[in-house]
Amino acid sequence: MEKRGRASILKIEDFLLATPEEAMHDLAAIQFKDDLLQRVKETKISGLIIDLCRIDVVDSFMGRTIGEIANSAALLGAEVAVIGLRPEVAITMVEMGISLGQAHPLLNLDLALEFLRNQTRGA
Amino acid sequence: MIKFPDEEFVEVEIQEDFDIIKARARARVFAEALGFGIVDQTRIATAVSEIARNALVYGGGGKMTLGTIEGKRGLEIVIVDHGPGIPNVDRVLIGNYPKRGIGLGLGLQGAKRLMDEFYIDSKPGVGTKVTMRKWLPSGSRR
Repeated sequence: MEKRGRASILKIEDFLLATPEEAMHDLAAIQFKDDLLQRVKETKISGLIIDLCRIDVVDSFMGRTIGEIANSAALLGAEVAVIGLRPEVAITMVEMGISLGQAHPLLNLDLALEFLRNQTRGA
Repeated sequence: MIKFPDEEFVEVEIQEDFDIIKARARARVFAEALGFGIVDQTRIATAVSEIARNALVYGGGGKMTLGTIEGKRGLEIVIVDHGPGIPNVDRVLIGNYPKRGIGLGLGLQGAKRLMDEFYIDSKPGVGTKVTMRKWLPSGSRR
């Protein structure tokens, strides 16, 4: 019960796909950020996709953490796409004024891959 | 197992990070059982997440109580801590407050926007009590 907040990180094409498997408590979110940025550096990938389909609450802390991942990844030279946001989560985020920094929100995995391929090609 | 909506009140202790998730999950289940739709459930869970975090981070921990109001026409959430209290609560709520730690103001303002009623009673040295209410849209009462 206490070991919750896991996330899977896997490689897809030349990118990383990170999926939190369940609600993340604050320390887990910080760990997720640190691990992910370390993986970006180690794997030298140019794009990262974060899938939030299992996340039912994006509060100010979670929103800020995802924004920090995107902004930090940008400093490492990697683009971040966010997919899987639930409509009710998007509505709540807008009402609260939460943004995701430099992360690019996209509708699904196909579009995220297309977006990142174009970004990489253009670079 | 959790039994709703017959259960009129629920209490959740907030003593560590994971309790924030427990508190918001309980609030969501309670709201759903009362008849709130998915968007309102999410607003309620998110507001609880913000206020529970404030109670933990700034108040050193606290307790959430969930209950129904006016014959199950709405939901009331009370989150209490016994921390140092928030001086100038009004200034925090309008976003005009010097930075203290991380995101105290953003959390309070955001939670206030998501709920129908929002009250803070904060006394320096005594603690903070946040009361939030959400009313069921008329016609969706179970």
